[in-house]
Amino acid sequence: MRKISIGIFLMLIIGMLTACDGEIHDRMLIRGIGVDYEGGFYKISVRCENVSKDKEELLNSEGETVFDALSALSLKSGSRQMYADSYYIIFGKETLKAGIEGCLDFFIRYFKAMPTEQLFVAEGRASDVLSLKKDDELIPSDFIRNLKNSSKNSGKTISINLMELISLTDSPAETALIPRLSIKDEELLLDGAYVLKNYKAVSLLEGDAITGLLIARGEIGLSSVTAESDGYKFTLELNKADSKLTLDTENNKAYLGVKVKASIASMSFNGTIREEKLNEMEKAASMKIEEYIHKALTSYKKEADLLGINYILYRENKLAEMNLKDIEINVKAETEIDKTGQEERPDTEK
Amino acid sequence: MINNKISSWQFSFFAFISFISPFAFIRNDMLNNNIADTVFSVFAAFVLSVLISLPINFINESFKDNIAVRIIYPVYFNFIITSDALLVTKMLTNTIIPEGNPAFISVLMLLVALYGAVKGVECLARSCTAISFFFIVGILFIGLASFQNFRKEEYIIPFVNGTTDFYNNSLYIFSLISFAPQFIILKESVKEKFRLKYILLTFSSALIASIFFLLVQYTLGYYALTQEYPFYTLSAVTNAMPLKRLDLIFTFIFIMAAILRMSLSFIASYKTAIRSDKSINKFLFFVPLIISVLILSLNENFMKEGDMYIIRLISLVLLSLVIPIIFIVYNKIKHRRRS
Repeated sequence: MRKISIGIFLMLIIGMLTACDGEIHDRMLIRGIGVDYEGGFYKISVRCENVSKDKEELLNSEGETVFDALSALSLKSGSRQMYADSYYIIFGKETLKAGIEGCLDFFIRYFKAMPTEQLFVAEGRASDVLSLKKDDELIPSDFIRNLKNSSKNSGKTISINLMELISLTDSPAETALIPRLSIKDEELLLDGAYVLKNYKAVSLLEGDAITGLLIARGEIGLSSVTAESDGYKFTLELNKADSKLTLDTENNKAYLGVKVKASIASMSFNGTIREEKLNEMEKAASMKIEEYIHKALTSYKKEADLLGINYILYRENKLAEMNLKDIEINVKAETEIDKTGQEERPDTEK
Repeated sequence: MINNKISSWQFSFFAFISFISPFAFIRNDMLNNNIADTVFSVFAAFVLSVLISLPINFINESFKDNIAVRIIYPVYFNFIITSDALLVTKMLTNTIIPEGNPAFISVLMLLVALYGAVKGVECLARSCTAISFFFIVGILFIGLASFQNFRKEEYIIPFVNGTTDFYNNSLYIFSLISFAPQFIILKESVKEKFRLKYILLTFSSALIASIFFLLVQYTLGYYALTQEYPFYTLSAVTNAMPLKRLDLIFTFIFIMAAILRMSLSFIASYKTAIRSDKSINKFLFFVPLIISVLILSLNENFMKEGDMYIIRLISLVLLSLVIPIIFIVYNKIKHRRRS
C-alpha cells in the first residue's frame, strides 16, 4: 500500500514537471521595442524572434498607453509576449521631446521586463530604425544592442540602460543622457546624445562635447584628443582621467579640476620629443580638453545638471544654498603624457 | 512533537536564518528614502532584538506555568506565523507568480512548516545546517554577481535628511526580524552554552543584510525606490551567464529560510502551550491557525503591510515591556500582601 501511494505521488509530481506553461514557438520572444508618440497615441514597433524560421520579424501596433499597444500585439500573432530577452528600447525623437516618463512606467512596473535594457533615441522615428534592412534582411537586434559598446570604444557617445536612466533622473541631479541613433547611407550609427531633464529632451550633445563631458566626469573610454603645438598636429590617446568638482557656495562658483594621463597616438613630425616639446604638447592638450569641456557645459541649457552639482549639494545637505543657473563653472585641465620610449627615437629634428 | 536536544552551533544557525530571512520581504513603501540610513537601522534593529530577550527571558523563567503566559505566547507565535506566511505570499504574488492563488501558497507553506515542526527541533536543526549552506552560497553568488552593476557615484552620505528615517526604518526592521520570544522558548533545547556563538551569527546576519542594502544603493541607486522589494530587484537585475536573472535563486533560498522560521515558531508555540497540559493534540492545536491564514488569504485585501507592521511592533512592545512590568508589579503586590 505504501509503495502504491508513493508511486501515485511520484506520477503526480512527474506530471507537474512541465517547466513552462506553453511551447517556445507559442511565445512572442521580444528582442527590441520602438516607441513613437504621434497624435496622442503610442505607436509601437517590436522586433520579435520567429523561432521556427530562425529570424527576426517586425510587428506594429498602437494604443493610448504603451501597455495597451504592447497588449494589442497579441491580436496580430495570438502569442503571449515575453520580455525577458528584450535587449533595447528605442524612442522616436518626437516621443523624447514630449517626455518619456509616461511610457517608462510599464517597464518599471512589469516584473518580467528587464531593467538592464539599453535605451536609444532615433533621430527620426523609432519604427524607421527597426525596419531598416541590409541585404534584404532586418538589421539584427544583436547588432543594435552591441552599439552600446561604442561608448567604451570611441569616447564620442554614451550608453545608458533603463535602470540607470531612472536612477539618474530621480536623483537630485534630475539629468540623464540618452544616445542618439541615426541612419546614414542606409547604416545605423550612434552620433550624439540627448540631454534629458525630468525625462524630457532639453538639448543635444555631439562629438567633442561628449568627449569633454566624459573627461569632466572621469569616465573616459578610448577617447582621443587632437591638438596643435608649434605648428605640429598630434593626437593623444587618453588612458585615465581623474576629475574633482569643488563647490564654493558663498561665491556661487564651481571649480572643476581634471587630470588626464595620455600617450601619443600619432604626430605630424618625426623625431625625438624633447622635454620642452612634451611640456608644450601637454599644455596644448590641456587647453584642448578645457575647450571640449566648455563645449559640453555651454551646449546644454543651464537647468540640466550634467556634472551632478545638485547631487553633490544634496549629499552635503546644501541644496538650498546654491542655484544651478547662477553657478559659474571654472575648468582647469592638466595633461600628463606618458614619456616611456620617447627618448629612444633618433634625433632628426632640425 | 519529538523533544530533542540541539547543539549551540545549531541553535546559533537558527538565529542566523531566522534573523536574515525577513529581509527579502522588506518593502520600499514601508522604508524611508535614504538607504544609507537603513544600513545603520539594520544594526539598531538587531541590537533591539537582542535586548528584548532580557525581559522576555525573565518572564519565561519566573512565570513559566502562569496560565496568562501559556495563552499570550502561543497567540503571539501564531500571529507571527500567519504574518510571516502572508508576507512571503505577498512577495511571491507580487513578483514571480502574479497569477498564483494566495490562499493556496500560504497554506502550502504552512503545511510544509508544520511538517518540519512535527519532526522536532533536532530534525529542524539538521535541515537548518543544509539551508544555511545553500543560503550562504546563494547569497554570496548573488552578491558577487551584482558587483558588475556597481556604480560608485551612487553613494549617499548617511543622515543627510536628519535622523527621522533612521528611527522609522529601525522600528520597521525590528518588527520584521524580531525572534527573541521564540528563541527564549527554544533555548531550553540547547544542551550547552551558546551566548557567544549566538551573538556571532546574529551579528553575521546583520552584516550580510547591511551589505545587501549597500549593494542595493550602489547598483540600483534611485531606481530601487521605484521597486517594491529592493532585495528581490537586486537579484532580478543581476545576470551571471548563462543565468539571465538570479531572482529564482533568491526566491528559493529565502523561502527555505522563511519556512524554517515558521517551523521554529510552531515549535515555540506548541512548547509553551503544553507546559502543564501535555494532552493537547498537536494537529488539533494548529487547525485554528490554518483556518485563520486561509480566511486572511482569501480576502482580497488580505494583508495591509502597514497594519501588519504596527501590530507586530505593538505586540513586541507588549511582550517585552508592558507584560514584564505588569508581572513585576503583580509579584511585588503579592509579596507585600504575604508579608
